[in-house]
Amino acid sequence: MSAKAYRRLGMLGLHLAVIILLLPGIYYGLCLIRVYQVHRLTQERLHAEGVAPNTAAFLVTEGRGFNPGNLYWAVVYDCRETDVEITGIVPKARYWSMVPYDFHTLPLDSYLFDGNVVTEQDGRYTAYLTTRPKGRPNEIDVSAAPAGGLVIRISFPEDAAAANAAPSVRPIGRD
Amino acid sequence: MAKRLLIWTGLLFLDLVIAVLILCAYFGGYRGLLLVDQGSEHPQWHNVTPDCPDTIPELFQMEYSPWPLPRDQNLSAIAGITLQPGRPVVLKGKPNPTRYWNIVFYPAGVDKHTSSLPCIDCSRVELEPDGTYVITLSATPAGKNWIDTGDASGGFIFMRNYVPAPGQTVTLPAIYYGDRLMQPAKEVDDVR
Repeated sequence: MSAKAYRRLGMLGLHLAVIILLLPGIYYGLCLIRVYQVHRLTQERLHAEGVAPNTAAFLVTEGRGFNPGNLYWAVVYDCRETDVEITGIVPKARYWSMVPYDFHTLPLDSYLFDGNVVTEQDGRYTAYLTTRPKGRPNEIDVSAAPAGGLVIRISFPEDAAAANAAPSVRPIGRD
Repeated sequence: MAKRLLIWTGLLFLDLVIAVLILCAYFGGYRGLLLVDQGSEHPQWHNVTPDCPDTIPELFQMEYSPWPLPRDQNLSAIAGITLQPGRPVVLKGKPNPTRYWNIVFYPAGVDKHTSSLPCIDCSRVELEPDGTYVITLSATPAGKNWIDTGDASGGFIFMRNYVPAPGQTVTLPAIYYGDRLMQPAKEVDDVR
């Protein structure tokens, strides 16, 4: 083969390498853009509600993939410095859960639902978001995403007043 | 020098275009994942349950089904459909062994989904004598189990199955355009 043919082959290989590098680059770049959008929308919502992370739960009435059978409460948490305590009532409903999410909007492995949450007789619960679990009832380990969002879902509540009562949220210090 | 730089920039741009085309061909043509929310003449069920072997890639999960429930809590899938006057979309399936299931229609072009979305759930669905169900999506009333699609020309349907019984199989209904079978019923095994 001539030197010119080698050079052309080299050029072709270079372009193939660039394309192969671009494929995951574009895909993960688009993922990062989506993550940024989620983060921005979260900040906008916090600003609109006038609340800081770890201090409040707010009702969500619209959003991508909204299930009309559900009532949604959202909490923006940041457990990098403190734990977060959430208290509320598990109302009688077809389904109830409390699931933390990372900024990729994917659920963490640790969560509560009506099958494992520990409640008082009247349905009251106290849950803890923490990166350092220490065996308390209703602890949710968020070490996979120390900052993120938590969604409380209530499907077809029988007691609308209980379902519409905002859970209280507060940061608590670590021992 | 400037000419060489221009040539290299052009070639790099060409590489970028080729990479985008490859991604579009793979995700759009091969996987059928591009613009599912706009509807499709070839509907197919896409698993949006996190951590399943056939779950759609994360980029599309974030787009079509952000903040999904964990796999133990909900087996769910979406399918893009197109609607034409006089050609209803018919779903035929059997009730699933779950605590609750529903099917919701998300019209194309509607970014903000609310509780007013048309849907049907297991407590309202009327079954056939053989225990199966037939659900009709159309703009005009179609008897029992009707989902009103309004003036939408397409969109996607979302089936959720909350708290599936352990070890059981969940069935996604067959999709018909009129009398024509477009997507056979699909079974999703509980992989816990």
